[in-house]
Amino acid sequence: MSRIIVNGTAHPIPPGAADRNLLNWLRETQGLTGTKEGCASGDCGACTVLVHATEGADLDHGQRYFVINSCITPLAALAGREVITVEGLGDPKAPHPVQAAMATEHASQCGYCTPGFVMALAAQQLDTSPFPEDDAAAHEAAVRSISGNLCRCTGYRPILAALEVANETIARSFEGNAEAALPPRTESPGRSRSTDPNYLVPTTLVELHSAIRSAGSDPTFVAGATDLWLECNQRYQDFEQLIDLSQVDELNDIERADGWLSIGAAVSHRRLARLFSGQHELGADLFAPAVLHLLERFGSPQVRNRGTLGGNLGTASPIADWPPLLLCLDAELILGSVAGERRVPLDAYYTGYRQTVRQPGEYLKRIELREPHDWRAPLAFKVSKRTDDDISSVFGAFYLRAERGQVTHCRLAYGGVAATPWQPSKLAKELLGAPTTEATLALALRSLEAEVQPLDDVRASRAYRQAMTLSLFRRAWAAMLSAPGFADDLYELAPVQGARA
Amino acid sequence: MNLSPERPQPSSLIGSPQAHESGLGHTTGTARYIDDLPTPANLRYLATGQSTVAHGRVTRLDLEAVRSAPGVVDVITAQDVPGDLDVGAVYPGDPLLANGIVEFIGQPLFAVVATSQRAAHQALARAAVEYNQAPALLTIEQARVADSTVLPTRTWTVGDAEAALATAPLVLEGELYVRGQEHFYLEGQVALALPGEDDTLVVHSSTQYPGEVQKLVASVLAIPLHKVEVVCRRMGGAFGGKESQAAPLACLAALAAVRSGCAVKYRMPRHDDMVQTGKRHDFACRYRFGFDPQGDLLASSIDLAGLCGYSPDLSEGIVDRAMFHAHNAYYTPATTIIGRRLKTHTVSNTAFRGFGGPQGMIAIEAAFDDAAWRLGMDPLDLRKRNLLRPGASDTPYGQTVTDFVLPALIDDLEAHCDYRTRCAEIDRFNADANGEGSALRRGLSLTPVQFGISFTAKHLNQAGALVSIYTDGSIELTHAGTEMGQGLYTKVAQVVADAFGVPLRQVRNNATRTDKVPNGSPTAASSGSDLNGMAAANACERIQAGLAQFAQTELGWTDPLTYRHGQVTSGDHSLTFHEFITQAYLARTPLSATGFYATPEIHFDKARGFGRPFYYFAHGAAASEVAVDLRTGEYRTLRVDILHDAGRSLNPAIDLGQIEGGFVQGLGWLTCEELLWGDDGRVLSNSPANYKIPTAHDVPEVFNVRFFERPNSEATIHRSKAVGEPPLMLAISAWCALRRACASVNPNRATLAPLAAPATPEAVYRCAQLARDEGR
Repeated sequence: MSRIIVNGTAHPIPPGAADRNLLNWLRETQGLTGTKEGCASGDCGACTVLVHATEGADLDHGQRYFVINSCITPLAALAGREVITVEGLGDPKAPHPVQAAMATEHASQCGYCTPGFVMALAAQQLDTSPFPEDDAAAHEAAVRSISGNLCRCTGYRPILAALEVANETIARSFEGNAEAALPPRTESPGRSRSTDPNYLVPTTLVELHSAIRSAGSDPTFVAGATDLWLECNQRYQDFEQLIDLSQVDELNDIERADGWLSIGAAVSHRRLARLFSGQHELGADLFAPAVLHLLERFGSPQVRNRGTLGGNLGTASPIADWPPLLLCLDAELILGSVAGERRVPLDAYYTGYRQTVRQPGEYLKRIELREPHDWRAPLAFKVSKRTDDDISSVFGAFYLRAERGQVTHCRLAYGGVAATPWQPSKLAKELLGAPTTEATLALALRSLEAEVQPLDDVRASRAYRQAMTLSLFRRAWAAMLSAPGFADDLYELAPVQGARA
Repeated sequence: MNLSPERPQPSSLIGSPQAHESGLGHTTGTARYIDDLPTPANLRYLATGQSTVAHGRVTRLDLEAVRSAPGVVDVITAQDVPGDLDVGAVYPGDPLLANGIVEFIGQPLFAVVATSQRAAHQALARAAVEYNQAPALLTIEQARVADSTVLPTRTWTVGDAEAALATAPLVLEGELYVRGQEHFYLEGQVALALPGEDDTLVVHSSTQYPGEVQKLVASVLAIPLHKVEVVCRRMGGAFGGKESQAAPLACLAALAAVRSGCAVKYRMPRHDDMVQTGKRHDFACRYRFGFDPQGDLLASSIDLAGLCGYSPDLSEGIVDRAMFHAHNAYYTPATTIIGRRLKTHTVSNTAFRGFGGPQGMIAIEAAFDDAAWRLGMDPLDLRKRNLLRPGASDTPYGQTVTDFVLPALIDDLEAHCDYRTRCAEIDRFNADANGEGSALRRGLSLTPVQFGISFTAKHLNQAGALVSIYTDGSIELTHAGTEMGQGLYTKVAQVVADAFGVPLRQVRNNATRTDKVPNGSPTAASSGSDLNGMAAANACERIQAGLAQFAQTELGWTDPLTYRHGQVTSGDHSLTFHEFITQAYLARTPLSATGFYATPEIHFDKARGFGRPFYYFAHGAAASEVAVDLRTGEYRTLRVDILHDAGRSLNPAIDLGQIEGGFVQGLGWLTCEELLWGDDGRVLSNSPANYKIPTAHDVPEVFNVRFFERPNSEATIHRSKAVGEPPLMLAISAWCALRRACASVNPNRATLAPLAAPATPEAVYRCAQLARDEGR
């Protein structure tokens, strides 16, 4: 039987747990009620737990400890993994430095969200990536580390203060080694996969294909579950047969050749952030501000750690943030099946609202991108009601290039404005070769205005979406005419002079 | 912030920044909420089937398939309620389960009891329900036209406002629509009912009002109150949303428990909670304010229409409180204030931190910005000259203000935050941006809050407490107040520990239980510490009276007793507290007492709108600076400075948390939190995926909070002041600042462009567009 390590102790995963999430199992079966349910949809972070990566693609996250939402994580997906809950960090007699600091800094009021924040802050401490040089960057990193956790009581200031105090404790009492502040754990996970016949976790393409064959006509693929598990939690849907793609080796590869970048569909958003950071072994020129901007505001750390590129495309959601940017990079999808594979351009993939050309039994295998002349050139702008962890009202992606006063390359695409990711293809053709003048911009804006037919819903009105479609284009146009990178924005506005004193 | 203020103190405990009594319990996950309690054998789970139409008659309710679903053990409808079906909080109107008529989407039609939460929810979909739909009133406008109200409209008048407005040199007329707010307490509504012997029940309820839950459970079951014991150790947030809204869950769980003989848990999933429980009221505020050319307010006419939903719930008091606060901290010689309680076919709106006060207050602040723009004045100058002050100290509801805190408080904040210099600097920044055609604009606004403290329902201004000293010197404390994160248990324990001169950890504030302290009021209206702190102090005094007698007669100590540093002292005599208590016990001295408190001096005639509804006022002011990106309407709050009047704070760390947290919650209400409804009456913002409360990113980058340290002029507990609700309204300054930032794109515009509330990026974009395009 497969097993999971929780707070250093191994537990068998019972069969028939396919529709159970980690949270309910922790609370109901293990009596670990410190981890809370706030929303059961991965939006509030009260259920946050740590995963300790010991092997495989997990390690390529760039972090050996990372947070996930236990509410939208199938229990069986964690077979062979080690999980640490709030109880595993410490207890009132011997609290972890974060637990102690949150108490002394008055960082809990009602306390219900608190365990989730404790885990997020502990993960931030365990993050081994280089520490930000200045206070502002450190503050920004701290804010980002809790962007997937909602607190309704405190206003967050004391939570961030607690992290500073806890960091001092780690520096003083643990020689700066946050891992040393974790209680000792005896059991190591060892290699173990789900043995649940209803929740298959193949590790190779051969295993995947045999899983598909055994599963019958239309298995449900799991590619992170950050969207799929809402069906389980919110609509109480039971799944007959699940096949988890996340551990298939071939779906976790990233390759770079001949001006194309080929990314396995099971690569997580977190790994993509590393890939495009300019610090990946595939190349320092893979520094893509547009991707980093997209990812910084994509869901939450918890969601980015579990969610995958294939999952974002597989759900075919019109409000997904990846497709517009991928469309600007002429992305092509490789769809796999037991019969072989086929190649579909991304712009031919979507057929309607949450519908694609993908056939039953077919899975997303790889995503291939045409590399831009400079990875700093593509741009992405997200407009949403709330900055962090929100769904786009409008997402605009642009790859515009001008040489000697002429537009020499033009790709643009939008999310959130139509039932599928939308490309103003007429405009893109018109712009190619056009002079980079104010007159061209005016023509382009008129053309966009005529072409765009946005949605009207809870996130934004039709009129606002239309205005943003134009506004974001104007911004990209201005950026094209200046150096590659971002236009001035709110986030560059310096805090009030001297006010921190 | 200054957490260790130097000032004379009764002891080191009062005014000390003690940590929350459950702090380490919260951070280690050992603090238990109701859903965390070890589950009894055969625990059953309850879920409710919900109306899918906003208004109509149920013509068919076939639950056979529900009954036969896997795991289902019971199905309950309105006909199964043995006692009173109505669980209305103040007035009737809230059936526990719909009885033929449905009046909002999400209204519970029936309850399913099953062996698991999942089974209960899966069974719901099997119900066959048909309706004969009736026309539904869904908006304030529709209800106003139809003259549909849950309670009669009230009008309060002072002087002849119409005559004064007719001759006023400047009259501002407008309407401000303010949307409601979802509480989004992190712990959803939950109750656990455990049946006992002799038809008794213990009900664990996540409620601010155990006394009312007890009453309603008894009335639904038709049993006496003494058979129902309601317990609440802590809530995972409440904010008013668990004042009346918790009771139906407790009642259904209790009913199901009695029917099955098993323990029953009813925990609402987040989606159900967002659809089935009431929220902050939307308000439409129509106003006319008349000014003289110097900016003095001459008269006003204010029409406040609250969207109450389908039943009265607490709307009587909520709309009253909007009326009380319609002039915030300002004086008006003449006014007419109308308060409407409109009935719509939507969920019944309820208490939410501020209780109508915020919605009442924002219109005058918006109008003052308009008036200042029109008169070419700085808005702060206009605000300052209209503050209630000696000679202009009467509120429109008959209460005369005697303690003028705000003039000095505002001056202090204005100087401390460099208001004038920054205004000038921002004006330059905006003028330069206009010249360059760049996208960013800034705005700064300083607004005050004056919030009346007391329940406006007079009888609720009472509290009881029970203090018991055990023979080892440890002290147990209970009172009717509930802990929802606001630190009430910590503060009241500080009062008791201080009274006996013992360390704080020697006092344990135990769970709130209706069998320990009966007939309690809700923990609401910011009154928790005021009422329960006084009741606990009274209990301590009564124990001390007995101990004094014991000391005199048994120990021969003639000087008065003092309790300090774990010692009991009388003149030259002294014993440790433990030894003293041991001897008192052996001498058969009572070591336990109940205490009681009723707020003095308050009275109010609701119909006339006249009296002294508030024992005192709490004050504060905030200066908020924002930056706006005109291209998208996105914005950031750059800096906020707050000066707040918490009297002589019992615990500045906890009060600071209330101020910061309240401000951010108010900021959410006025910025990113947008409650939206579909044309059919459905809540569209029904999950955290589409209803966005602030994250850490939305908090002001620079956030300076100070206390305006002055003892309460009224004799409250250690001269402290209530601090739960008032800070929420400080966020109005940020909304005003956003509007000013938008206005800066066109300084020549005759009037200020309107800004919606909440000011989402879309609303800010629209405001800036209006400012740019019109009124040149």
